[in-house]
Amino acid sequence: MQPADVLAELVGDVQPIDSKQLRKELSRVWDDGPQDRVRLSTMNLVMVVTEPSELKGIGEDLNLLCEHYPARVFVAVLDHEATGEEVSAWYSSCARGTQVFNEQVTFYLPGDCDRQLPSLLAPLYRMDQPVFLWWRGKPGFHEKIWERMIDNADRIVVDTSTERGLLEPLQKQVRDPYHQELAFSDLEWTRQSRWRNLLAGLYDRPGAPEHLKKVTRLEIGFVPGPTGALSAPFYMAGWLASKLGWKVETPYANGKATFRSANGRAVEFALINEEGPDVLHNRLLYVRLDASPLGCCYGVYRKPDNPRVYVSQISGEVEEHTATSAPSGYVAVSTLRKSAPKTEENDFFMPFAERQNLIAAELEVYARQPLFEAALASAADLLGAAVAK
Amino acid sequence: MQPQAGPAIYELAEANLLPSSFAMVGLSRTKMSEEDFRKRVTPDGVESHTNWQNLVKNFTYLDGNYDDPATYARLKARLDELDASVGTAGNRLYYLAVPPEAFSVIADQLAAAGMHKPGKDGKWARLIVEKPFGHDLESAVKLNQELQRDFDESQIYRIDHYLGKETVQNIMTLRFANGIFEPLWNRRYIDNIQITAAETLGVGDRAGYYNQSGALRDMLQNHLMQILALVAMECPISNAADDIRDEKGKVCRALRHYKPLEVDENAVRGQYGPGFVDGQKVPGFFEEPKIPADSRTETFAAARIFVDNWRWHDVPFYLRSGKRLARKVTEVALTFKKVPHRIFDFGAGDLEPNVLLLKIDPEEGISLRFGTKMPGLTEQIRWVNMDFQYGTSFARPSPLAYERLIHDCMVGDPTLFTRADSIEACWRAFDPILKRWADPASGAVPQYEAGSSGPREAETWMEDQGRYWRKL
Repeated sequence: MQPADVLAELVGDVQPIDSKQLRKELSRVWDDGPQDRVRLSTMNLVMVVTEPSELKGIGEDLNLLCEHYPARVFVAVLDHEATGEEVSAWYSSCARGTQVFNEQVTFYLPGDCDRQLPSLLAPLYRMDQPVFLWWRGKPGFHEKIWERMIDNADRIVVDTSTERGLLEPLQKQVRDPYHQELAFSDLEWTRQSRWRNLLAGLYDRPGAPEHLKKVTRLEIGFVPGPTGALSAPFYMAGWLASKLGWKVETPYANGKATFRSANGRAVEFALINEEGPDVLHNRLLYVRLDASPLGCCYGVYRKPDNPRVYVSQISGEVEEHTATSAPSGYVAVSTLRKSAPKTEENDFFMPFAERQNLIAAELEVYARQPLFEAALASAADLLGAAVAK
Repeated sequence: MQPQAGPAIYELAEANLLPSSFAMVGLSRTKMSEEDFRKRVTPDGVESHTNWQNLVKNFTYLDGNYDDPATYARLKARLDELDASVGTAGNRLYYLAVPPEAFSVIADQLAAAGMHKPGKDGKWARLIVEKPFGHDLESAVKLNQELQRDFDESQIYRIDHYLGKETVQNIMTLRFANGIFEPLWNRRYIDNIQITAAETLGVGDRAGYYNQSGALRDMLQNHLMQILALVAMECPISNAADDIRDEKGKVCRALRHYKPLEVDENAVRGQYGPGFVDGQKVPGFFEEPKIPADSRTETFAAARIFVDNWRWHDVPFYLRSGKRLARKVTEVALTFKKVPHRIFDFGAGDLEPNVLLLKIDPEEGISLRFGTKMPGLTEQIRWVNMDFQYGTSFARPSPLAYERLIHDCMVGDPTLFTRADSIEACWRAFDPILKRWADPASGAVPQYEAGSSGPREAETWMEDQGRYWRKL
């Protein structure tokens, strides 16, 4: 069986079409079909896959996704290892009643046929609808077609957990003046949104933001994966640094770095590599912020016996509000005072994010995300400086 | 013979819009039998149609040199014969689908043979001329003078097939038959207007002609300027041809003329290199036959045009056209100004402007882009299109551009034809760009990959103005 045939099996219920006459073929598909069908579409979704086996089950995933985000979908399989000079293409669609919400063209591009891809896609995009480019696997920053592909895109979604050292090239892409109109994002950043929410939630209590100004140490526990990617802990450090105004003073090396806060205080950063089961590879185990002069510590941990349960913890002498009752007509006054040393814990259940939930979150975002970009810049500073050194 | 003319005449016949007595005489330097000529003008698939067979039997052919009086004597004799045999009764439509240098030669010869004058009893003689109408201001003025030496301006029909397209004609209907658009159609509400005609084809077998012409002459100065005039003109006092052409003429006269160095800030060009189009590898401009290695001819041109009048003061009109681009599309996009005060927290992104899009080719229709609240508990805004498509709203297909134009010429309606004054006014605005680009001091011509959106320089040029091209 030819690789392209294997691919057709993986893609699912599809019909082969002539890639040289795609537009005509697509018209024919519609002209020959039932006349009461309506195409739904809010975007063009291009998914680039560099490993054909990743296609298994992708048809089902895309159908679920497109039920909420109707799209014209293009799946492009770049098989650099294969030999061949012919692009193969298949068509499939998925409908609810008469409404077609996923109209999909799958391309198989062996060898260097990937050069043809941008020119095959351009005339097929639904004009005036945004183009989401989801590059699965190792992002193709160095691929010849990368610039041409992003030329026509509005949103670029990559995943830096797939290889070590991708934060810096991603940062270069984001900062490229030619990419001002492009909104980049990283699934690895999106995977951590729950961590960020929980950590930020710890500081919602009165008086707690003051502790943020006195943080002296950031410690992140992390289970490295086989790819060696470090983007998860560095996004976390980058996010905190960018939000709290920390600048890199001593770049990352041997698990350590130092930031300098806006008020001149040194903040020590420690990345602790931990052992963990496969399911935790490339994932954070804990994030902990110490404000040692105050003797208190804020952190979010995975529960050792159930990594899907997170514990948010505040320990040490915590400043607390004490409200005094006020007579009628007077304003109640609350005062802050230090509590006795104690530990507060709350448990939160959070399942691992499914791939389709992650990409669904990305499809909600159309514009550039300053929060992400600032975190990426700080993370790249921290790592880039380390590499340079 | 213009390749589109055969199908246009067939469609007119099918729509019963041809006079019952209609005949056509082909004339060129090529020796050809009448049978071959008839085959040549017969559209694909209609050879056996009875209507076409009845029509084509009145098509005849002559060969001869354009500058030979004997040719015109034979032509006159043939036309007189047809008057008698077919009953064409003296009406004459001379369609010059010939190289531009032959225009005035033929006009002079027709005049010398006395064939240019309208006949008695309302019989008419009209001349259709295909572009290019000159290659610069000087040659355009000269051509107009030469044609007007023999024919009255009212007899001259300068054909621009873009004006025959349904959506182009619909620009006036949209503007002046609807109350909601015209109040917004001005500098107060419109930020910029982009008129794009992108092609995926290369210069191919037109390389010899194209190398003398270039994208600016071939597309911007005529087709795109005609569209611009329809978009920018004031409401005419009536639908009469000269009332409309007067208003279009005023737009052309109001075009800003650039000084040589201003051209660099207001126009950008490019030449395509090799690449992929529709998945096929295609050669670069310099790999095409008949293109000299030192050619400075642009295959991509974009210009910022200003119409210096009250309505359009400081509103840029961006004209863009090129060969071997990512997709074939012709459209007019009116981008409105953004809201002055933002009350919605829409993530980090800017609120997008509204865009009214007039789709000319390959889709024909109109769409309006606007923001709408996404269903749900959030305040997220999504940008959606309200679409009108000719193909889905009307069962009847749009007539071919040439069908409409040839018909209009036969009934004597010059509305969709370009008048001499407008042609010259357009050349006045474009001449400085041509001159500047011809000057080696203007620098090397930027290159772009075939199948892309054009040269990178065009993107940065636009970004430097705080705007973006619409994606191709």
